[in-house]
Amino acid sequence: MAIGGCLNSIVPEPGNGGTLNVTIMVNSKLRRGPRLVAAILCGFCVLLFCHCTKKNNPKSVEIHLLLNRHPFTESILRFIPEYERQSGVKVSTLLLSEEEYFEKLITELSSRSSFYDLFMLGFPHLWQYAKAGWLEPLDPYIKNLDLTPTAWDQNDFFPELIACSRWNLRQGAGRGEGPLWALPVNEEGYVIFYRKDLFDRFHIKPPTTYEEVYKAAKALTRNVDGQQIYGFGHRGVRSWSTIHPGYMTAFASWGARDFDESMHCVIDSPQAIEITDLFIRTLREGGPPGWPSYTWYEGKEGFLSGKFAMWFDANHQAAAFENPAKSQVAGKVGYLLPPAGPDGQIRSSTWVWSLAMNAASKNKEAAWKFLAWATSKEILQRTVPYENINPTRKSVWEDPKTMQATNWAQGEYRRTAQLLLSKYARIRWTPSIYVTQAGDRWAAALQEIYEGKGTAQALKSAAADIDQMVRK
Amino acid sequence: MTDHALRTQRPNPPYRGLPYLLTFPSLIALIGILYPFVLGVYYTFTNYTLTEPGNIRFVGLANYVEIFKHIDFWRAFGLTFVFASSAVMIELALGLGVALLLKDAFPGIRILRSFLIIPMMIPPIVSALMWKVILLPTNQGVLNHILSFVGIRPVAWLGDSATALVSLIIIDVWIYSPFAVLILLAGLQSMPKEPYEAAQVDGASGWFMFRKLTLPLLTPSIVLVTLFRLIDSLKVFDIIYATTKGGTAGATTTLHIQSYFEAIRWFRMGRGMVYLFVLWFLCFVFSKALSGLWTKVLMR
Repeated sequence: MAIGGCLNSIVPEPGNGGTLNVTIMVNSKLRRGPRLVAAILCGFCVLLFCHCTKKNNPKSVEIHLLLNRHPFTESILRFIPEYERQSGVKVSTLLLSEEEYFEKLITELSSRSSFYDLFMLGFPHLWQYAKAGWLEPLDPYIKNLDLTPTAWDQNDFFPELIACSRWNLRQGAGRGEGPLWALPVNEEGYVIFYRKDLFDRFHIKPPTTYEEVYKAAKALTRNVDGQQIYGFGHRGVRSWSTIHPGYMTAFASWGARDFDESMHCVIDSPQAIEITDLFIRTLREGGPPGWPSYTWYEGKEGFLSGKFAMWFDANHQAAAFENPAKSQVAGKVGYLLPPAGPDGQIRSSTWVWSLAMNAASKNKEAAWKFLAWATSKEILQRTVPYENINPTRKSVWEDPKTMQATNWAQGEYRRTAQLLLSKYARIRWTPSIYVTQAGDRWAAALQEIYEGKGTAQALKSAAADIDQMVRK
Repeated sequence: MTDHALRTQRPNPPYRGLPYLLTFPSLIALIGILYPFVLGVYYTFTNYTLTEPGNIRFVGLANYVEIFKHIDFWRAFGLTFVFASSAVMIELALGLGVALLLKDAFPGIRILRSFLIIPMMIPPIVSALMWKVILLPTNQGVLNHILSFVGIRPVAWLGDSATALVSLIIIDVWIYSPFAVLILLAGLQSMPKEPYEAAQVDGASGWFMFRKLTLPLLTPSIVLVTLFRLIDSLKVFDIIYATTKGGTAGATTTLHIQSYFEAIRWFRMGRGMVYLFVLWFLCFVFSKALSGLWTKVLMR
């Protein structure tokens, strides 16, 4: 209205012909505007219609993958053109770094978008998304012989990794039971990487208990040939992923748990306080300054550049540590099983990257066929040379090419990895949809302890907050 | 030209729907802004959890009561204030100093001014990552490496609760001080010369002229810088997320970071929105007060 009024106001008084002509011109120009807008809108609608028609054309099947940047994805991307040629299915991928990836994924899934047919996840996400009804159960596809060739062979996967991908949706229990929600494509166990040369030089025995880790870390935090070395490294940022590797392994080995049977948080139990105190003391007195700022990436870089004498993290980082082109410590690394707890038991944590299908997908058969292809023996074998270690299939792990590629430290790597996979590595978290939030809060408590707050007090306060999250 | 002729030549009345058509995009933009805002405010009164989108219940003020009762909220509230006010004050002081230095022409001034805006041209997330490498806790960090030459032991800049917030303020100051410089420089260059000439004739000292002339005449620019930078600093997310993710031990968990944890990482949209609503309210109050002040000083 205001604009209309403005236009009227420039209409001249009678007798001023020149200005009138200008007004006529302005008006005629403005009247062309709506037509132009209408033309643009029509054009847009036609384009949209064409696009939709193209998408609905049954002859051109296209599946969309949302992927996290990881050796598995970076290797599988090499083979996708081959799959497209064989199957006639177009495969579109979006590759994002981990934090961005999970933000994008939760946005897509929570809006029930069907755009992405397949995506990657770990067990905390598997529990959350399965409970929310966003994951497609995969058993029916595996049983359907028209969709899955017998050679695909589900029994070839390590049983523990399949167990990690099953859940019956009961909070606090049911891991390994119920539907199969995803297929494992990469496994990591947790070992203590240690610098053999430094341990030998300073006559320190590789540790077999957490007290020995503490003593070795203190002894090795020293200046060596003009370079400051720190005895022990571990992730430290305020994230559940800080809890998960070495700390959770130590925590579980000490007989401590995250939740009891009634989903009451018990991270402040006497055992929990004892091992947390020892673990954080090891980091404070034998670790690098600024431990709370360490992600796995910075820790790995620290070990690669020779700053750490011990680094407690995912064993497949060995591929980088043993690569002389990337690493200053190649050939000097030893691999230790995680130490046992007071009862002599090793209860190591583990992590599995899996591929899952969107329950809202509109191309489920095509998505499954791709999933079966990507998790087949042949393709998983072909990802090994591109650092997709550790394999999730027994046949790939035992393949001579994999054995040769992973024969680091005179077979020490394979021995520890094999023992973890077959005997010690389990998911130590209680199945629930609260792993990420409980873990983030728990990690904040570890940082507080590192900063000087009392262990019991910090854990008690975190447990109370986690209980409050679970009660909601 | 007769009245009759004029009437016959008068164009058709403007298309009646034209005003509506022209304002339509703005209306769409307004709805696009208001709808998520209103929805967000509504969510603060619900138990909305991302993983249970079908189970949204109205819970009244329960989210507000729970959050306001918790010490984490008040710590985040305080940190947001400390971060924003410290960063803005330093940026203003530094910006004013540099603007005064660059006010007068000297050889190379153009190049110097071009260099000055480089930090602003780099996306803040990239600057933050760059600073993260500079501030790495061991001697791998550029700063610690340099300090080691004078015998200073490595400092955990971002990994210690005593230094993390200060480090973030330094990063913010590095990125945004050029903004303060540019605005204040423009303010200085548009000042009238006459009052200065009169003051010089009267034998006024440089300090006197700065206090009694420069500062009062520059007040609109100072308020403008404060307005923009304070609102931006209150909302800061990228720098903190890229460097400390809210650590160490909560030393850099501002309201925005806490809302991210609540809403995106823990899926508790209802609670996350409470933090954002409080942040919006803060920004609203400050922008209202500062824009009122700006109008007042302009009218003076």
